Amino acid sequence: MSIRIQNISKSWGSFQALKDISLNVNDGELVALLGPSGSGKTTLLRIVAGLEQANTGEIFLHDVNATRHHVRRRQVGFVFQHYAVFRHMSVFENIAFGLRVRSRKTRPAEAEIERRVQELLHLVHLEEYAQRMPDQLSGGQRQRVALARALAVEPKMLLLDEPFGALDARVRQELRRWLRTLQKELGLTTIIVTHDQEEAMEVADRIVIMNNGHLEQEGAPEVLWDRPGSPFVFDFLGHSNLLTGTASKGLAQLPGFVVETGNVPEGGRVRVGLRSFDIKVWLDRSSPCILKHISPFGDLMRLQVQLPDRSELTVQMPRRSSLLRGVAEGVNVHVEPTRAYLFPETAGEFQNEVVLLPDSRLTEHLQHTKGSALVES
Amino acid sequence: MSTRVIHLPKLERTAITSEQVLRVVLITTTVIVMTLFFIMPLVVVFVNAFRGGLGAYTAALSHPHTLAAIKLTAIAVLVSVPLNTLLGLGAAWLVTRHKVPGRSLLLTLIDMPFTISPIVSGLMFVLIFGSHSLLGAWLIEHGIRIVFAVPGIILATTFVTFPFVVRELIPVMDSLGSDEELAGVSLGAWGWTLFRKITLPNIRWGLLYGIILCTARAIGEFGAVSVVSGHIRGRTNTIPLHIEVLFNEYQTTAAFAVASLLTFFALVTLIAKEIVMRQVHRKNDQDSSVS
Repeated sequence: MSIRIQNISKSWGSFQALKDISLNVNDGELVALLGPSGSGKTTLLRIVAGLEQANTGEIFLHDVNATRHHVRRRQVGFVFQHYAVFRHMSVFENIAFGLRVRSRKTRPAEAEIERRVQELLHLVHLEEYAQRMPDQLSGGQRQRVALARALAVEPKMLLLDEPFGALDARVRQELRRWLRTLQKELGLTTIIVTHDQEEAMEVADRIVIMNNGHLEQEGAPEVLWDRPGSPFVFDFLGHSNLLTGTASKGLAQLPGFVVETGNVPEGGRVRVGLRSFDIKVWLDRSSPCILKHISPFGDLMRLQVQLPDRSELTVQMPRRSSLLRGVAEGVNVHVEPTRAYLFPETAGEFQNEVVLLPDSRLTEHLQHTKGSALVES
Repeated sequence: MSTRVIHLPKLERTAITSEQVLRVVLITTTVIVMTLFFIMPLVVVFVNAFRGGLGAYTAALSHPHTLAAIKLTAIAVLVSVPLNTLLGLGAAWLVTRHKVPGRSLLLTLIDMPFTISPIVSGLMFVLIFGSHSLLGAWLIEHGIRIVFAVPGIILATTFVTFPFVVRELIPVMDSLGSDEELAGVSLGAWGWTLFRKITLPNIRWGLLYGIILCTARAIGEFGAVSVVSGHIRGRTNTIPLHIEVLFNEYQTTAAFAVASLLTFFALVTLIAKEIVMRQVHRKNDQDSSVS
């Protein structure tokens, strides 16, 4: 079932939680609403579910205006962050709940309920736990019960509110891969709310980034990585360094190094986004930048570089990169961005992006340091 | 090294001794206070009740006026407690499940019967429903007596005992949150089904605790009822009012006999309260170990 969100606004008193949000979710698609806490993503999800009413705007479910429809009529499967498993009912009864509360006419026979619950228990790998009480289950198991319970009523869409937020990192990873497979198998239109960008990237077909009650940018994961529409989106995805400079003769002077500014108008202020893995550093005694900290992480090396204005730059390089020869804490290093995201400031706001890849100086340096060009990619 | 080992126990012993003295003093004080203020009065009630022998005791209890008082108290309790249970559930639901404007004002109003002296509450009802008020005069004209009659007693009892159930439910429902109920709604449950299958099982011990406290207070209510009752013997006297009448007429044995009845109720309440309290704690422990 497709979901169409049209010009939804919501406020509580003077606080505007959602500002004119419009969004389409296609049939069978998995969309992640991603944003920091307080960005309005949960409110939007609850409005789609019918648990909350919007002040203005409309919700279309399968092209039918459902704005005034009660939760029960919308046929949603809703999963809460803190599971909301009925604590006084066994796992079996939890899953059977939605079938048992149906009116006599539509309620399946006891044998049918039993069969359906068994099927769902199998689906969420909890066959042996049917008679357990919720307090005898782990967080991950409880969330799977909640999911099975939501699926029992054969919902037309699945709405997940930070479903793995309360679980520890390993269980979280396992569950989101499992959810991804399950969702594709069932072909159920799904919206998942999360503040974890990694989770959104891994699970979703499309990501909607929200900030301060408005929709910041939407797109497939690679689009968000490669063409961030604002400094916020760039920063929120992580591994980010954000600096401010002024364009002058095609270059922006940043503390300790320069980046090319492409077609940013002369004299324009520009925010420069540098991903930690898009920066190279090498030993250079004449540079004003100092390496403060270096630590290995898997096959990566994480570096903290202090710039002349005392701000810090995070850099990530291949651990065995030949560029790191002689680099140690306290030495002066040259900073060379290989890719920068430019957000020129126009009328006080930062918009658009220009991507540039200046690698001339890097090749030059590599040619200098005889033969090591073979190692570095 | 060795001198240290010798010194240590000595230091420890003096510390323990002064602590022990303190402990003995505190325990003794507590026991004396408890005996003087709680156990002695209890004993006095029963001793005085049976001073005239078992015959006098049963005679006092089976006196028509006593029986009428018991009946009236029973009526007041049987009406006011269920009423307050329903009102309490409604108010707690309103306060905890809805974004009501002026929530804190509502909470203050809920507490009002606790903060106002029962005498004032009683006077309030007399002023509203008495023959001097417009409403009261109109009601009397139409043959409905509120003040100095059974409805007034029920009204006063209900008012005074209103906060017990709500006050017990609000923290319970607040800490439960509404997620389970919302999950129930999204699964197709609503109204009575939702309440019976999800809300009630989660709040039952808190609710029961509130009902017990409410009942205890309803049985013993004196101040407000005293003002609205008019003390018509055999008609508008509840048990506590009847005891006062007997006591003022120097029928000490009879007064204490009836008082022993109230005391007995109080003890039953205490035990019931204790049992329910344990259930509540056990549940809380489980819940906290879960999350």
